[in-house]
Amino acid sequence: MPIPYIPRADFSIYSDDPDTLIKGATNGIDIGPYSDSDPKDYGQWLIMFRYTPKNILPKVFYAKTTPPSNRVNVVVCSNIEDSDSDTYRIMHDLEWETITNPGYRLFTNTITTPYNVGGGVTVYYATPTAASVAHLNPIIPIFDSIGEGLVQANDEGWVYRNPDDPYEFDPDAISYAGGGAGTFNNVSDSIGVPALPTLSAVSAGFVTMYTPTLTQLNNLASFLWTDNVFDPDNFKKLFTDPMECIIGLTIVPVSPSTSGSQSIKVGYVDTGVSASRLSSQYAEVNCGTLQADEFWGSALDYSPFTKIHIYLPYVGMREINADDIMGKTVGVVYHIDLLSGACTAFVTAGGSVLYQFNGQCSINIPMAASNFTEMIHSAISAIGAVAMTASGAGAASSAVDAAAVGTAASMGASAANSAISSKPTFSHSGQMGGSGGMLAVQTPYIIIERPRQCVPSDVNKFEGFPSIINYKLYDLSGYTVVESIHLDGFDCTDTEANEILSLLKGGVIL
Amino acid sequence: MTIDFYKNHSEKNKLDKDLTSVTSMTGELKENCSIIDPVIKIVGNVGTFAAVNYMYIAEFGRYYFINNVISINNDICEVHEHVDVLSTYKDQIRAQNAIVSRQERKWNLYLNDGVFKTYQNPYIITKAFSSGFTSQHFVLTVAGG
Repeated sequence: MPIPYIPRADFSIYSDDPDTLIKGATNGIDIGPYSDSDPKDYGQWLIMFRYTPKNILPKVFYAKTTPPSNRVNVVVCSNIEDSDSDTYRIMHDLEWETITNPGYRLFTNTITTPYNVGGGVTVYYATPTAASVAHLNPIIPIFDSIGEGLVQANDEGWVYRNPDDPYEFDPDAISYAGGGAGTFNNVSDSIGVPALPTLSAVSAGFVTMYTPTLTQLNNLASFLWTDNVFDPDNFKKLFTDPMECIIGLTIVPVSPSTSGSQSIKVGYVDTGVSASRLSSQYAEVNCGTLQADEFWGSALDYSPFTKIHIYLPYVGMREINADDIMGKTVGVVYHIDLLSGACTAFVTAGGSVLYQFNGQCSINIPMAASNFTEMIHSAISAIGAVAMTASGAGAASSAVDAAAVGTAASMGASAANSAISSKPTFSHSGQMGGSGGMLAVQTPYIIIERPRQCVPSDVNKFEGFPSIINYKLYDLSGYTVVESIHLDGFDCTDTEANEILSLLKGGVIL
Repeated sequence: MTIDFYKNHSEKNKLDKDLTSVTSMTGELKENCSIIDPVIKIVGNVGTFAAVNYMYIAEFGRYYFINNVISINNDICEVHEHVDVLSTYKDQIRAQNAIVSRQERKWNLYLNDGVFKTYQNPYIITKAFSSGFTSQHFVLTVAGG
């Protein structure tokens, strides 16, 4: 069971002196009542020390008051376990050994300096032998206590505190060797465009969808609004409003798949107007592909230097990451719900779906006054939303423009990093759903903003190009800047070696 | 001690210097002398050293840049030098392996080293997909049917 940590900031026993095991740096330690007659019940205590990495093997110290002399016995061991008040198991050389007299088992200590730690307890410090000193410098205390004394200790549950460096033994703060054990498995699963849904309102049978021609629609309108009161169908219309059976009439930018023609029925009324019946509520539009090739063949073809926006009809303009598509075949596929007009645009790169955007691609045609009112209301709401977005963006853009002018004037040919990042971003489109989308460009496209590099002639002879490759310098010629090197086999002076190092890192001509 | 004087036509940071031999002198060191930054008094007037900027001291096994020539009198000049470690140790340098950060001929341009320079007017191009929405159709949806 982990031992609870009770911080004792005022307690410190440490040594940075190789000739001294423990320096009396404690101050006000409270280890509770002590009894000479029964240390187990009234307060035996121990102090554990962990060696710093300077020591090869982790070793601990164990100190225990032993009645009746209040002496501190110290053992040196690799690990320790308290079995009872007078018998201890110590581990050295990875073997447990039970000892009954720890004070003299491994450490021929000489109790020298008494120290009153409070609570009626006097602690004596041990002077190490010469052999043990090698293992003791420096030592850092690991300690804790519960209730009336310090308890059995092991690494689990102990919190290490060094008053001079409170983070020294924080397991999250100590630097450690590690890493490099990754799988290096960079295989990517291809995420394909999904199939259209199989279940729909149409397949359920509660809804029938038609794709009438303009003539068929005119005939339907004529039927619905005829004034021939002697027509039997008109008689039915007196009892049931057929308009209530019409869920919607929309214009969609896609040719729906059909399964033959049949007469349009609205409620109980057979209109006698024949139209093609949709076989599916959903439709797919494949907008084809384009190739996003590198232009520079360098880091400039990728973000943040190159920025790419994609225009998707009925969705609008979206920014996509150049890193995602560069050098790949980019495709756009739409899935459209003909009932609601909702659409999802899948943007693929290298055959895998990387982006999905939603939009609205149908225009509702008003068939009654209430429909028209709703349409106008929704249109105005949409326009208002766009206007607010545009004005906000415009104000921001103006401010950015003003700042950009000053920046550009002072920069001239600038480093790509700062130049690209300082460019303002402008919106290329607003809301593109519904009727607005149908008025807009109907083919998706991408806008690539790539940096125009300033490359002086023979720049590689003056500055070189980035390399970060391990070469034998014998195999190189021309301007070379060394990142790091170990100078082996030189018979030069130290001053000369330093100068060689400095020159190589500053750039030499091989 | 033999000192070979040269006219160096190359940059200081080049390992293989383009040298033109001018003269060679022989003498003895009579004063303390550093092998890193030697200061050697040589018999000869300033005109003798006007055409040289580089030298090799065989006894030191080192090439030197001549940094300055001070005329002591009409017959003696004090020549200040500094060792050219690149030329002196060029064979040992070339035998080393090193991580090269920039190179004239061996490079990887996909490394973003922050040295790229760009103009403020970027290329803006548009590329269209091969097809789009090309037709419009009515869709009538009725309950039941």
